Amino acid sequence: MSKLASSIARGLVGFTNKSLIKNLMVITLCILFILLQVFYPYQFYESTQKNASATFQVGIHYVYEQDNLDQIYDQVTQIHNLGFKAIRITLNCNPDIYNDTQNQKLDVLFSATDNYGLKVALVIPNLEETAKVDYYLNRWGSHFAYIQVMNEPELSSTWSVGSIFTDDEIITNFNNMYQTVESHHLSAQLYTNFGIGYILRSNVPIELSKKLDFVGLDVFMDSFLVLSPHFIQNMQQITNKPVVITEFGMSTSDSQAQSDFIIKGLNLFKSMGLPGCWLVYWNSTFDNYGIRGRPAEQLVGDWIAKNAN
Amino acid sequence: MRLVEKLLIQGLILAIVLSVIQMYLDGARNAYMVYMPPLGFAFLVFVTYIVQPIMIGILNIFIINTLFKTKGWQVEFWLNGIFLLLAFSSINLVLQTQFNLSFTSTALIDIIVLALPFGCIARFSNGGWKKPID
Repeated sequence: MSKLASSIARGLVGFTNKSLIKNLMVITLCILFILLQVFYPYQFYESTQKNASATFQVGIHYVYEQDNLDQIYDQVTQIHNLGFKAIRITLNCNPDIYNDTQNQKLDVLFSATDNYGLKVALVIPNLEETAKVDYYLNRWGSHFAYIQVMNEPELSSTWSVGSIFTDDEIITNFNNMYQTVESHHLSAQLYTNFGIGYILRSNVPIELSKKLDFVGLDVFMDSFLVLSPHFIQNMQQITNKPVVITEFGMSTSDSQAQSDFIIKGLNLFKSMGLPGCWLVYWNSTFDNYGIRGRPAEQLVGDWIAKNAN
Repeated sequence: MRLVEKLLIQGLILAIVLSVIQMYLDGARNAYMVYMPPLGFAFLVFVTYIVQPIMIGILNIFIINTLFKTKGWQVEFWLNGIFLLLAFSSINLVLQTQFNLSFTSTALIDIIVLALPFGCIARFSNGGWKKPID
């Protein structure tokens, strides 16, 4: 028996010791290692219940501008009842007419979020006028727990069609808006969100994160969800700041695909130990991102009840 | 020297060198990233996946030829080096993901616990010739 084993072993060594065979085996193993490195973190985090007892905040972007004034309070109630802990909105107001419908909508929205103890995140668009931001923060600033200074700056366009911000433009715009927000001495945490494209302009999150409390990462598409553990860990390493998924969703008319995508992502991000994930969107008239009235609404509510605290 | 000792020495040297290079790259990552983006990122990729494997491949065949008294090589430097780098980084990735370990902890595991298996992998991945080479 030992003779047989020894001759098999010797035969194997002899066979693999041929240069051609050795090269082929090394190449094959390299391919397997690459596949393992790409897919293993996603498979592991998505399928295990790591960090099950950790706090995880699920939020959602509410496009309240697209709803009527009398709908907004009930919509916030519904969002709260599903278990969401944060609502994200985009800066939008009319500084010229105090009682403009747009401003009234905000008053109603904040009366509901204050009533339910929901945290509110404000998105300041990249080229917003500082006077408008000043007006907005003077009037409603105290309601915010989080303020987003710039949106995906590494990809955003300047005034010129087809061009993107240069590094200098990004940093100048960021500093201007940062100073405007800071001048209001609010208790809100400041953050900037980045798309997956940050990997090609990593100097932008490295530079901006110095002044931020946390950084956001926006994840869209199945492929980037699979790769997101790598992007998240890299973002954590280069900024040394907590990473929150600030935009996560799928625009599709296939409700099943949308639900699956969102639930897979929530499992993944919680298992990775991230502090939270904010979905886009609650409602959206012009695309299929919205989860309101679709199967994802109830499934996400069930997921929150079971997994988020 | 017994075979197992040779493999242990080979694994130890490679694990230590790979760990030191990885620590250097982690420390220098931001410096690369902020250098004329995206050129700095390209340089980081170049150093990690071109320069490092060539160095590791040369080191591995040098160790094999020294310890096993052979000449030449069966697998080219870069291919051998990228294989060893991928094996090393895959083991670390699995350890870090599964047990939530830092790189320092996994490097210690690589050097203390996995040096012998890594030596076997390194020895398997390349080899010289006993015959004289023209």
